[in-house]
Amino acid sequence: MSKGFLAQGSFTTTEKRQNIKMKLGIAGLCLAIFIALLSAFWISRSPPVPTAIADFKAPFVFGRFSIPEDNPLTEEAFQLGRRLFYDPMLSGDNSMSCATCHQQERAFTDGQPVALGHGGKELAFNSMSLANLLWGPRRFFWDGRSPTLEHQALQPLINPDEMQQPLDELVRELKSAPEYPEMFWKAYGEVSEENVARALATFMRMLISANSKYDRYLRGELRLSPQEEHGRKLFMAHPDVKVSLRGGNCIDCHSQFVTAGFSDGWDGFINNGLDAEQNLGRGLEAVTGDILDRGKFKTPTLRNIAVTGPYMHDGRFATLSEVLTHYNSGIQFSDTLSPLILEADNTVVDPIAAHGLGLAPKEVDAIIAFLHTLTDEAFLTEPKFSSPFEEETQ
Amino acid sequence: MKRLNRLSIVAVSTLVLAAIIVFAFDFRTKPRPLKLIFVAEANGEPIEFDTFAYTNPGGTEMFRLRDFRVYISNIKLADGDKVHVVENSYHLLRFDRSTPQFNVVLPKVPLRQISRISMSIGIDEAANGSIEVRGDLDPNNRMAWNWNIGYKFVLVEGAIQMDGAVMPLVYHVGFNENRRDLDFVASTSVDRDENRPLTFSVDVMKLFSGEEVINMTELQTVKMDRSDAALLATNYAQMINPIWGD
Repeated sequence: MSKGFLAQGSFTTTEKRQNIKMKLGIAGLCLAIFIALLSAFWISRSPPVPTAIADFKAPFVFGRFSIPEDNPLTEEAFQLGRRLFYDPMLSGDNSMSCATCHQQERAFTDGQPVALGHGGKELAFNSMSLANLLWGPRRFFWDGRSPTLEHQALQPLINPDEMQQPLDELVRELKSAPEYPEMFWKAYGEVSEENVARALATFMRMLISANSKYDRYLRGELRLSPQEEHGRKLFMAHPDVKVSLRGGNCIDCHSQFVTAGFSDGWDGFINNGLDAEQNLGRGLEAVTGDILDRGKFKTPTLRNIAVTGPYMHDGRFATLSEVLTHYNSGIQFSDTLSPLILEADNTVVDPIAAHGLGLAPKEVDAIIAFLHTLTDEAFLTEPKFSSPFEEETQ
Repeated sequence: MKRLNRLSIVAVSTLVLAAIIVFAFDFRTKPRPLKLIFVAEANGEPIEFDTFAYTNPGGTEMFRLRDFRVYISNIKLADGDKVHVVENSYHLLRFDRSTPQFNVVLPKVPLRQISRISMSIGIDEAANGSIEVRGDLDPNNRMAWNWNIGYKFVLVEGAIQMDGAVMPLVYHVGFNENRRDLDFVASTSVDRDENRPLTFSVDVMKLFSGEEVINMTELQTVKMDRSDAALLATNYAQMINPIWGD
């Protein structure tokens, strides 16, 4: 009896256990399906991992560069930035894009003495070339008012004299445009002001010009002509009459390989003797508030300089010949004038008598010939840097 | 049994004591950063940049300084016989009105004390003839002349008042033969337990008023002339001095 009870009892326990196991199994299965569905939903709502730009190589002689950790170089960001750069949607009345003032065939300048803003209004500064922004001064604009490319990228948009584009309105427009939500999704996850800035900065960082005749010369692929070589030597030398060294003094402000201003601190900002004391523009002083920075402006890259005229921060010189005339005989004294420019003279030891380099016409021509070796036709015509809208209409 | 317990206590105590000693010793010899502070001075006082505050050592005219830069390299530190050679040791000391002192942090120095330090003003010939970026060497910076000549080792720029005019002063000194090797021995070793930095005075006036007294109105610029550069190099060999603090 007891055995029977025991046996019955034992049967009941096994049945219950099986029941519980089955219930647990169903519950587990439900949980697994729930987790799978949740994961699928979460994955479907997470932006895909962007594709790092794999074949990005910087010329060795350009030296170090850095990319912000929160804006790595990716294909998706580059394509988005490229489209935004050429899209007039970025201006308040949809009439101007970044490319209005930064045209590829002019190394991303516009051929105007000063940039023309909204309604053709003349702005204070000449449009700067956008080549090789990973190197050179780490401040942007002629007066250095932007500390990063991400910051710089939005300034023309929000300037009432330039593109007159409220950023909240732009984000609304981009969200309702057919292509942009997906492009932003793939690059950054969402449409936002910050991500507009990041994408534009990525596009600008990739505008690398490193295939000029000078680059090929540096790589040992060709020789410069005798005149170009003469110009190169003058470019690279600070004159020293004491040892009969003639020089164009260019390298004292434009580094030998990058040809832009120097990247350390404010080294890339110079008063190059354009104006006498009473007419001196504020320049860097507007940013630092220091009167000792008055008249200092950013030293631009000389890459593609032959196609980026007019020259200087206010576009006062139409040709390279005018620029060389300034350095050769037109230096104006002021308190913040670079001592290297004031002192550089090929003709006399006494700088009181000097207003410039005092180079012979042949030497001036040689420097101009060398400057033409900095033109990079591949950069000026690179399809990846061109308007995607033109590609779409072809 | 009691004896066994006593033995155990002694053994455990010995082990603990040994662990403490090993830990403490390890802590004291573990590589730690060492900060070197270089203070720009003129005649033993902090430099006043951008004011006509100084008298021409070889004359009576007043002059001002705008920029003062020095490449130092190949730093070696010693604690008695133990020598630590700093890797990629190329450091650009940059002084101007916003940076009257410049810090160099050596990341991992495995010495308990510093009894001796050596360094060069300038750059060794191999690095000076290279366009490789290492340490603070950068062929695209303001200290690079061009790849044929190498780097400026010492740069001083400013202006001098002469006959009612303001005239430029440009002293760029380079060339391999002008590297100067410095070696400083402490009278008492500097203990690193308190993470004390080592401080150095860098006196710009010694460039112009050392073994050779420079009249700036006669020598307003030094660049490519090797005999002029050598004059200043003779002087700048005495320009950097440690302040041991003892």
